[in-house]
Amino acid sequence: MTGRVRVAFTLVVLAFADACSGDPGETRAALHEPPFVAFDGGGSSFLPVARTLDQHCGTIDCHGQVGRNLRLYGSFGMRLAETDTPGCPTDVTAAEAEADYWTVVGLEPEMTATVYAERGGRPERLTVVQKARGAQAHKGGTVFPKGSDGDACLVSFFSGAVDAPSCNNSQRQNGEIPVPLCTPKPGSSP
Amino acid sequence: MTSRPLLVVLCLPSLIAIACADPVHDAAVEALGGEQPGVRKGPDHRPGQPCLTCHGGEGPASFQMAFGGTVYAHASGDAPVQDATVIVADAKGRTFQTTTNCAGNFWVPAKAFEPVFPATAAVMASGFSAAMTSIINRDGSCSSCHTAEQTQSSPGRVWIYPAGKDATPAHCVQMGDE
Repeated sequence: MTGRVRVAFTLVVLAFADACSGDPGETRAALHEPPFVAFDGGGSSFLPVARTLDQHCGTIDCHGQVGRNLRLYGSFGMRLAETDTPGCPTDVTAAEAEADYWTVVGLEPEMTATVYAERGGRPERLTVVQKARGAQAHKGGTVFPKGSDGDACLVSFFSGAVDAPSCNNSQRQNGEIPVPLCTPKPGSSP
Repeated sequence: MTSRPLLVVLCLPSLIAIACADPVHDAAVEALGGEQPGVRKGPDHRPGQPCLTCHGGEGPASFQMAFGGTVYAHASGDAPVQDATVIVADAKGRTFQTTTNCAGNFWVPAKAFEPVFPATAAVMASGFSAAMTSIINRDGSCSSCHTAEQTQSSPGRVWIYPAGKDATPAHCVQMGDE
């Protein structure tokens, strides 16, 4: 290789390297996720949604287990803390609500951001909504028919304003839930 | 018939068999291991194992179950509870009741009960009762979730007695007992 060719080759390599090493902050599209903020009671805005998902989707034989891509943690399924067990503690913990939040917004971040930016407009573009409504192949079938309390709960989240009453209505009420047979393990979540 | 068409005819069934095989299911069946020594295939076998792996319609067992499991005295230990009443209820409010045998095993025949999920279940024995706090969304094998140890992913066995209450010893007739 002559000196001139060697210089040209080096310049080409450097040019390619420079093209691939841009500042990710400048080139990546900013993602606007639905709000995940602390609200009264020390929980999160997602907690009512997490409770609904826990009961309807997050059982151990569905999304509350390691085999599912849409991983949900909660009382009805897999726990986030190693010291906790299904059913004990009896509620979704704050940490689990946060983990579930990231599961849901991380499924389709771009589309989630788009729907959120449009204040929840056309949420049926989201796979999680399609699956829940039974509009897309789903082993669990139709979990939240369009317009149901569960559907309103889930869809409201993507608008940025969780419809807590619908979330609560979609959950089994205290009287319907048997007293859990659980003895908390030492160090388990309160 | 020349040798090439003959070869195709001979290979075709094998290719179809390979195409139809489900390696995930096959692995799940294999993971169950062999029968316990002295226990013949039948109602008393494989307590604590996920029944529908074999009895769920994909084989190898021909008898199909909608639900199947084992009731134990306590969360840990292997003492089964015989004659426990098991009730399963589906989303339409229909129920099916059955009783555990000497191994603690119970099952709901698929022909007798076709549940609409979600379903739930309760167990009763000797004046004690336990109801599921969760719901069953699709898996009729109790032991898929109710494993021998309480973990992040399992509430432990299906168990019913409080500490201090022991199960009445049950004895299944085994090979060689007759």
